Amino acid sequence: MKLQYYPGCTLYTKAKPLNTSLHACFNAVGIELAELPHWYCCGTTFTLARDNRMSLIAPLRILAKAQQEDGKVLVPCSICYNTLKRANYMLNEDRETLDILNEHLEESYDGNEIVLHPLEFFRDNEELVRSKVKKSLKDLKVGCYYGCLLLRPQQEIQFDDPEAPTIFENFISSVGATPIDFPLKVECCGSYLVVTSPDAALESSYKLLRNAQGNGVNAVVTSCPLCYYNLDALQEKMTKAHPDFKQIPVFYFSQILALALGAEEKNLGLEQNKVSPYTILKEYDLL
Amino acid sequence: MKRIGVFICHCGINIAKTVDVEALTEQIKKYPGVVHAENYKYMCSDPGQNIIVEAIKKQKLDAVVVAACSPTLHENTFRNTSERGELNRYVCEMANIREHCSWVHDDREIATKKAFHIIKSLVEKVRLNEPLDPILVDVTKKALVIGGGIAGIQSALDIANSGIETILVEKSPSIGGHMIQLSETFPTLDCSQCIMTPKMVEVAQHDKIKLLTYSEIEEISGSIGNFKVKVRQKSPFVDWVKCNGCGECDLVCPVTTDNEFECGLSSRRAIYRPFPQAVPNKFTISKLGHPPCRIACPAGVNVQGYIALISAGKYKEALELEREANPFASVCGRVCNHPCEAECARGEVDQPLAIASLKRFIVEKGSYPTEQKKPNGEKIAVVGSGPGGLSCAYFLAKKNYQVTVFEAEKVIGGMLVLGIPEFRLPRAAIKEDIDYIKSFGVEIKTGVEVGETISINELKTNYRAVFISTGAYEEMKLNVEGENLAGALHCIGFLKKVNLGDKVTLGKNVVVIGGGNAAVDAARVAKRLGSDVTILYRRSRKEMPANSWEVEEAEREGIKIEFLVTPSKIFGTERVQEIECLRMELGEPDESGRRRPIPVKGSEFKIPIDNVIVAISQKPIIDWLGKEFGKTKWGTLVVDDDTGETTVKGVYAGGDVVSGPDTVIKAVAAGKKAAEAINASIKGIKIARKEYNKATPEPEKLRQTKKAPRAEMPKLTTDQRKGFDEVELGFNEETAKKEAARCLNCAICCECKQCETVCEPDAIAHDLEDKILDFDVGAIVVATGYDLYDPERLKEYGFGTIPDVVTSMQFERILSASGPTVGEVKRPSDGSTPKRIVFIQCAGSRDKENHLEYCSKICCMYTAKHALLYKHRVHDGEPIIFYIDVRTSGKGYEEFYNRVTDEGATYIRGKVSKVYQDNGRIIVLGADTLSGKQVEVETDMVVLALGIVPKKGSEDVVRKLKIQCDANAFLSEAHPKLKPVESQTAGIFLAGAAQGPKDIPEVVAQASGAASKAIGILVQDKIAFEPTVAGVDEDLCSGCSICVAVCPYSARELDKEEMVVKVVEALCQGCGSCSAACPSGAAQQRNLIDRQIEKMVESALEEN
Amino acid sequence: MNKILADKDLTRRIEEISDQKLSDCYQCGRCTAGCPFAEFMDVPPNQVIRFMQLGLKEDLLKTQGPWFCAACLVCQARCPRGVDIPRLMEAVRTIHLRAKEGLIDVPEIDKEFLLDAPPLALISAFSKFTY
Repeated sequence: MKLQYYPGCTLYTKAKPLNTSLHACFNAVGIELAELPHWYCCGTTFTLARDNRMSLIAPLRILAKAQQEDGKVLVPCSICYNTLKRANYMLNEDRETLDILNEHLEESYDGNEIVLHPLEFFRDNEELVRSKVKKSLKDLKVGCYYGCLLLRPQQEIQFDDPEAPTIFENFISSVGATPIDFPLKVECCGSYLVVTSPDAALESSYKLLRNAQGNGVNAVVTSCPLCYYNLDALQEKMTKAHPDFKQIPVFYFSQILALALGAEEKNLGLEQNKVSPYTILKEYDLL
Repeated sequence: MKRIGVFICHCGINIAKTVDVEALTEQIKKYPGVVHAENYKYMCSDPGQNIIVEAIKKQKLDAVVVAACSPTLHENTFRNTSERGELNRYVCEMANIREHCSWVHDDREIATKKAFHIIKSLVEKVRLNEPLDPILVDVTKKALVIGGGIAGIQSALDIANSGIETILVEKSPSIGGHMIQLSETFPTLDCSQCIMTPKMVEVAQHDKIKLLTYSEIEEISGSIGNFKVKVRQKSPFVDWVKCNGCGECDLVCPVTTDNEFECGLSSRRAIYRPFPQAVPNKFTISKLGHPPCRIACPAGVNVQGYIALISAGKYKEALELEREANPFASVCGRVCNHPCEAECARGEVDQPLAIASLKRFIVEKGSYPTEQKKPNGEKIAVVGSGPGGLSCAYFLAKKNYQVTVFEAEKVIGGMLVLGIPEFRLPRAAIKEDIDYIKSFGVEIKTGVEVGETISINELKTNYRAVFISTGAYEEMKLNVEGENLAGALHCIGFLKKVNLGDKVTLGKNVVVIGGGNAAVDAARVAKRLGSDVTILYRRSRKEMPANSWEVEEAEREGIKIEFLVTPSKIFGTERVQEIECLRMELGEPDESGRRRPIPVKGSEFKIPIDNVIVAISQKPIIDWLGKEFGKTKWGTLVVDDDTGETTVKGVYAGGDVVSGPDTVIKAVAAGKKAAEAINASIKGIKIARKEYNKATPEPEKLRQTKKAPRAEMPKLTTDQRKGFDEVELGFNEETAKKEAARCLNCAICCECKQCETVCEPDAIAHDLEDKILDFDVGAIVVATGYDLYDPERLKEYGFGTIPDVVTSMQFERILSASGPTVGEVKRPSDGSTPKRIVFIQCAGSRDKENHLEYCSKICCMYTAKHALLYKHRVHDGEPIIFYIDVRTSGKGYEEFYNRVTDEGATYIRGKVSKVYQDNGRIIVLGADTLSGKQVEVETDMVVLALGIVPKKGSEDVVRKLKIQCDANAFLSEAHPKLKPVESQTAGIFLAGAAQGPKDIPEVVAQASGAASKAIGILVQDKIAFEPTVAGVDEDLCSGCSICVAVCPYSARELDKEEMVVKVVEALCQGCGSCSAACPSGAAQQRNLIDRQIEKMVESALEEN
Repeated sequence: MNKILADKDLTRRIEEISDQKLSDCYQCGRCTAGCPFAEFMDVPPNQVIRFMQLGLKEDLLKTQGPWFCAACLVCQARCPRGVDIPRLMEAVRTIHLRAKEGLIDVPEIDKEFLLDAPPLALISAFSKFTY
């Protein structure tokens, strides 16, 4: 079985571990990820100005190209997923804009491409994963951090309940680890404000990590490379700003899955984690 | 030609501004038939009406058209005016030139022209109108009030106090509604209980009120003055005539469930009275049917019952209840395959209850002497002392039969002693049950082989009935070469030897062939005799018929299992030496539903062996029974499905001899069924087949149940398992009680019947059925009340996940002196006193995007009251109220709000975004829009001022009453200003929050209003109906009955003799469906016949 | 003295760019309550909307609030009146950016951070904060 795959820029640069571990996971369950040929950036962040059609061109062209290959495309990066899905929704609602844009492009798009997140794929193919789990992560207490982009706006993304989502937790259970709920899992990490207002990003990420820890989480899992950066890379500064803060390892969901599926360590990209994951993984006998 | 008068109203400037009334008057005067036309500023006023009266008299008018507003508003007014002028009211019509003309047009010329067309089309209509007389019908002088909250109570009392008989129907077991749940009431802070209970008592004692609680409306038909009502009085399973409300039953009932009256803050028993002051003061049993465990048990053991009794610590009663359906409690507590556990609803939450292990626990808690039976003289013979035979003997002995059991072996118990090894089922455990059975006077003769020592015919002659339960002992052969070599054993033979204490020696390498429980038992025995054991099974683990938990134990003990392997040949010279096997793969499913194993070519391999034990199945030995006994192709006995009787009358059979090798509990069930059939046949009674209603908990409840793992059975370690000591060690009392408490009480009442044992007036009636009561009433008041908006839909506020986030009604109970905390403000989570409480207003209300668009009206005031009462109870407490607006429109309300702020409540203007827990603290994320600040409040407790929605289930009553609802499902009044208590159906009135959110004073006022409207109808002897009903022209009617089918009021019926349709005029509402449907034109509505409509259309469309 | 309802054109432009109706907002403050960055804003979201409703152009264009919006959409998800607040914030930013007033000067960004941060952080920030 083959799945069409759109990695997005960051998975080839700063988020390589997400890319390699995801490949390892799909490899282990016998699915080939067929990368979309000649893809480019989705534009990151969906434009919120209703009169800005330029920003729709990049997502539209990606969707059109993907559609030439297959009816659905797997998008692991939360930002790309959100941008493509919102653009798709908008173009379906506003056929007039779609027609205008189509007129100016080489490609032509009809609005029917399905944008799929790996977590949705695993939700719909739970047995596939469950049967391939080799290592028990039973004692790993995982806090599933959704962030904003997988959940909102609900009407357009239709991923899960935006206030009390469970898809991530179910995923974590199916690979044998223990999901721990924490109420700030649906709040914002600070996103791109890390560029302009690093303090804002630092404080919001700190707040939600503390909330996770307070509920007994000993590893945080996410699917977004930007959330990942804010939660992982900013911890050093958090320790400076809040001396009582204890660092906590952050993983991509695919790293956790790859661990459970017994993938080779070199594919996990754990060495790129800023907060060392090795202590906890050794403690639970996972490496 | 009729002399017609036209009267044009200016309606102030409403009409006159757009329509040139003077020109119109002049124009209409010239219209054929119009002999008089006039206009006036307000035609509905007294002078205006006098103009009409005088004109009728002076001009000798035959008909009148009043061109004014809508007939909904003033048709009645002007028809009364006509009568004052001594003109029949039905020759007066209104032409609507306001709503249909002046209000919707700007152009004066066009509007005037349109008004002319409207008027003249009405002139055409009225020209053909006939004078009619109203239809008079007798009024049934009784009222029905639906709903027993404060609204229903007030209406019922008002009507009854005027001397009219009133039936008050309430869905729940007590009247009182939400008001009786409240602590104090705003703005005067009277205690709700104090002002409510006297009213409730008054209802119960009123000689004009028939109170029907725990009852629902089943069906309503008819119309104003004469409604026919069917009421379903639900069975409370307690005879309320006998029940004296003493409450003894409450003390013994072992089942607890959420207390609805306390909003889930405490629990109640399955038998309950909603609250101590309930009216009527009677008990009710919550019974939802049969729990899945009880239905799943072949012997119908009341599982939920004995488990509930265990949680209550009533072990003796638990064992008695178990043995009502199964004498083998000790045996089944150990070796039952427990199909009940597979069906246990707890499995949907985490894992099913350890039902069988709990059964074992109650047996181990003690045995109790049995009541001695006096034999009734009827003798029954049972052949075989296995679980089937002994069960049959037991159930018959309990019914006073004299039973003799014949056993061929020297030991009693059949396969229990011969087949099952001691480490699973110690002999003492079997003896426990056998002794119990014997204690009922069952005689067991061992060493007597029926067919040899004594013939079946002798038994038939000497006993009233015979039950055969001889098991299945003939071992099936593998049919491979070498099966007869020394060292090749058969399973049951092997187990029997070991179990009877004969010396058996095995070699080092033992292979067991088969996948059933006997195969696993044999393997584990062989292991204990010192061999290395491998089980060969031809399918995969999934298909293995042995109990999965036994297989796990075997593996734990070091037994290897080779799946998808089958033997093809056994090698050896004198003794077995090697076994050749083939690998298998699974093909298509066979008739048993399991996938058929197919050999893989060339996959042969050999295993060295010293012994092989063949354990592939057994079949009954029945060759000692003659041809008169029907036998199946599988070598089992043929019996009747319902009775277990063989083809020979008076001879019954059950257990493995009928089913082939099967479980203990199925043998027990077969013995029990035969015992019942034998008794029924001797006594000449019929056995009714039982259908059970399966009770399963609501998905909601499953979701809310906290996970708690199933108790694990303590076991010997594998090192300790050298000999034949029992592997499972049994639960201690603590474990058993904890495990029993995991039961979800699917059916709520478990029918343990403890209540029966203590009820002095003998009021408990577990078999009581619902009753349907019929009433005729003349008027109805609907007061079905409200519910709070579902707090679980406000996920961001944490209700359901944070225990100290409560609803406003829960907080009422916390404040109430009769509540679970006796009026002390305590947190549900830990019982501590909250030092700060955040109140969130508009929880669900005023949120058109996600929840309720409307304002729920009472929340501002009850929250103010909550804050004040909290402050009164906890002096240093800090009430913080988040609000969008504070709405205090009501007498004394603003003053009350001032008092609350004076006494220290902090009001913050802003809607809360989220409530969450952080390190055990509750954090409220809000804003103060007045200072422009985001605020984060740490608090001990949160109260959600939830919005109000119509009562769940009231839509059903609405549908039956055929009344209207608004977009929010509240009942629609007939006119928002002028008819606030009338529904759109005549004779049905509205009261209370069912019509829209409102507070108590408003509810009471509306309820009295509805009552007086109802009284207004009921004091009349006759009621006048509009005569503009649809009739039948019998010359044209062909009796096709199309109109009968379309009539929504059942007013039309076919007279089969005359083959024409007849009309019940009192029922006809004049909707016109029949006229439209009638193919021959026989159905014509009076004063709206086809010709009138045609004329009106023609006239309206005519140019100029 | 502030003149309210003076700049109807501003209100119209905001509504056009955002495709939102300003009269939908009834100023309950829930957007401010749940905003993860409200504490960093000089004027919180509900007051920014109030400036729009009243056409207080100077105040609106002076406030830094909209530059702290990360478009996390928590406010949009919980707004009882269905107002897409992030679109309103984007409208304010758009007006600035179209007037060639950006928030960040790219050459000024710390080099070390540029090398360390994931591309999508930078691209997102540039698309929201530069013209």
